[in-house]
Amino acid sequence: MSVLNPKMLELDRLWKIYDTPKGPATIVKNFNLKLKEGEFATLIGHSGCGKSTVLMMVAGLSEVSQGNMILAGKEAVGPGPDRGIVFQSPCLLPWMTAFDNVMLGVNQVYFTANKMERRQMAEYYLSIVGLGDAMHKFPSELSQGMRQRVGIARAFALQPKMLLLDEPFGMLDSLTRYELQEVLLELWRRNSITTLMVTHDVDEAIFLSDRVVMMTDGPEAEVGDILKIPFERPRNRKEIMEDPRYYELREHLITFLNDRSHIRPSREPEFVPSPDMAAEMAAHAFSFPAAAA
Amino acid sequence: MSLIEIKNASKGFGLLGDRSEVLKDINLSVEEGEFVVIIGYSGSGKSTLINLISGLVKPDTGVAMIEGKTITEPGPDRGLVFQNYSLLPWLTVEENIALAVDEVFKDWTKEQRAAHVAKHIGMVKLSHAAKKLPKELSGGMRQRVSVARTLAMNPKVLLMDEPLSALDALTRAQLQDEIAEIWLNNKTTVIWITNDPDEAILVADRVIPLLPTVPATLGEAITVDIERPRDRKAINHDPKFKKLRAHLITTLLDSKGKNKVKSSRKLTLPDILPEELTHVNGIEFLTRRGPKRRNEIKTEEVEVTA
Repeated sequence: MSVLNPKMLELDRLWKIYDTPKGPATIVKNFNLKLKEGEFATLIGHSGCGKSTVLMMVAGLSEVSQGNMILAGKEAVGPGPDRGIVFQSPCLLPWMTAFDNVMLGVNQVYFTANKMERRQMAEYYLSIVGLGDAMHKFPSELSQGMRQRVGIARAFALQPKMLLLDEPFGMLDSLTRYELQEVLLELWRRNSITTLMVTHDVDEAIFLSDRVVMMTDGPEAEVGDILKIPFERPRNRKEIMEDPRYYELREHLITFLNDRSHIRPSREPEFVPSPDMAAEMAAHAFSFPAAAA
Repeated sequence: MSLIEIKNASKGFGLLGDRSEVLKDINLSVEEGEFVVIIGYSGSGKSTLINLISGLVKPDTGVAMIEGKTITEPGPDRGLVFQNYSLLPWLTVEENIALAVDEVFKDWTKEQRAAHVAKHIGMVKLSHAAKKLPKELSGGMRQRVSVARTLAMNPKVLLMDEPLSALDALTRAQLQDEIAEIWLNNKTTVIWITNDPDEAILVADRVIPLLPTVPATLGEAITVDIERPRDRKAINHDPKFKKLRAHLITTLLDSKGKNKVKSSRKLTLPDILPEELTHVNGIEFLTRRGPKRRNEIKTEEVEVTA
């Protein structure tokens, strides 16, 4: 095992500004974040706050207006198979079986490997997500939850440098969502790919991630607070739900979303960063533009 | 005597040889004025269970009774609210509700019936939209019409089959609060079906899990002794809520794994690494034979659930 890269992803003063007839509209403002290799971070915020915009910028599907985005030491421009994405809807090709959907990407990135190895790759990941017996079915024959399993297997099979999850369980009912969270953790236990996930589900954020980044309401969304999740891995939902710290973390996040998401660090002179947020600010050695002016 | 009583009911579908049993040993009694939530996985037989009470489905064995009388067919004493609203698209909000009222209260005067319709439209806060057609309403508003139509029949029991599952999170929260408030005012007995543990605890007096065994059975009921009206923000800080929530979720998750047929399969994770496709790295892959490798082939036994 090689040494883990302490700076797998660096987002440095990222801005997203759209030109509109009424002048430029700032969607995301001065977004800073550093991810270590093998870290699972979650962006949480109200719908429309710009969390998906940040994720799409990292994916290379949305242009960065200002700022730098460095992935494993290289400036990342445009989309590529080094960043695996799982969308809210699984986006499978309906005329291909689950297996062929996964093979589509596998054939691209492992073009130097032989056919058997490529097939084993797809079979391995599809079996781990629980589709061992259903991998040759078409998307129309699978339930919504099973289709999303294919989407997750497809992303992992490419062994990307980063995994980007855009509300991956948003369309599922709550009980299926719990099952798929376990599936994701099971894969992640085998291969801890650096992950950035977007969600608005507080419990999902706590159960899956190492760090939760809370975003203020849009427009001009920015990082409002950061919270470290101290639970050991592998995680067990039952144990976590019995842990008194779970409820402290949950209350912290719920309070932020209910009462504090409108407070903007860059505009509130008396803003006091939480310890986790202060650590992130120190790592970037940045001050907010308002404070600097 | 309980208002609704189901005794030892079971139900299956299909013919001999291709038959699947859905429900087994269902025993349920609901008191008058009670708010009961039945929670379970999709496909576990929740709708079949509520249809035993509505009279749309007859049990194979056992009985379903209302006020001690065996249920044989649907009737206006049991009001149903479906997930997909089921409004008549060519009738306005008012006409949709009047349809039910005119059918049930035939002996009332025209004025009495009109007043009754108006009262229920007001109850779900749709007075401003009374003359609109369903297609002009949002999903949340359509479901409110459906609730008003059902309540206007003055049913003895309100049966709600995943009433809010098709709505977005914000509208769902709003309707949960509104329905809980309406219930607090008129105390109609409610049997509500859902798959959301938070929703269940927020609205119910009693939550009964439908366990996904094959065929499904009802689990042990959980009494929710949290004072009403319940505030959805404050409840998150309530230790009782936390305890009930953890208990309910673990009960449901534990029940899922038990009934599966498992077999293990030997899998090989091939020793290959992806090629760089985003950066042009010259002819690096031409100078070596085969793919990049990390020099270990992993094999493992994985449990495959059928």
